[in-house]
Amino acid sequence: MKTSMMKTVCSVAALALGWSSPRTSLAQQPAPQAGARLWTIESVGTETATPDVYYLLMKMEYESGLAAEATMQGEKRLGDFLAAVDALKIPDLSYRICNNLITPANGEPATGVVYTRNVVFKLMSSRAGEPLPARDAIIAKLEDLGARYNSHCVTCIGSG
Amino acid sequence: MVFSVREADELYRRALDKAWAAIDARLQQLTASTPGKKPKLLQVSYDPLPGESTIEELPDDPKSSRPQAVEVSVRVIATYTWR
Repeated sequence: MKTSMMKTVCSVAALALGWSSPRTSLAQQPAPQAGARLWTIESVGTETATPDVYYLLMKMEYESGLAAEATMQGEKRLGDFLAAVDALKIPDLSYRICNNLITPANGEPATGVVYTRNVVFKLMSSRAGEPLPARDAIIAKLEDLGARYNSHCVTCIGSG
Repeated sequence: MVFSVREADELYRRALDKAWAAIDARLQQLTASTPGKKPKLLQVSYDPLPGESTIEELPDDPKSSRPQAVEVSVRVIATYTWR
């Protein structure tokens, strides 16, 4: 549910004539004098909401001595992982695959390459404006499943 | 930002309405003591504050995977003169 709050900072300052006092709180501000030519009012409006959409970024890596092998096996593992995700039949879940990286493996000297893909999961409440039910359980399921396929949650990007 | 764009726009609009309501209220207070003179809006500057969750989470520096709320703020600076 949306909640709302307001933080208001009002201040008045003469820009051209008369006043030289810095912006202070509302209660301390005098009214603009007839001689003042310009005056400023500043305010901050704020709204808050409970998130109903979440993004979960997961990284899939596969390391091999050969780039072709790392790519092939990495894609296979990614496919297996996503098939397992689909089998969970989680409502309100969608995902997209992004990034395609081949980088030298860690180690001195480097002995291979790492093939990396990222998966961005999107969890969105089917009822607009309402919190996603069982959010923690769904995210935990994805994280657990990812661990079985050598994937891990990079970040669960916040809220909204 | 993890709102839908529509949701974010709506939050921004509400935040903006609040900022202007506060300015209008303050304007009435300030001009009450100067009867016969009417203010004229000369310049407005909008200073959108970065949207952030109330747990101060950033996408590249997440502090929690379970954000509870997000916040949209806008600062309005209105400059007036007398008519």
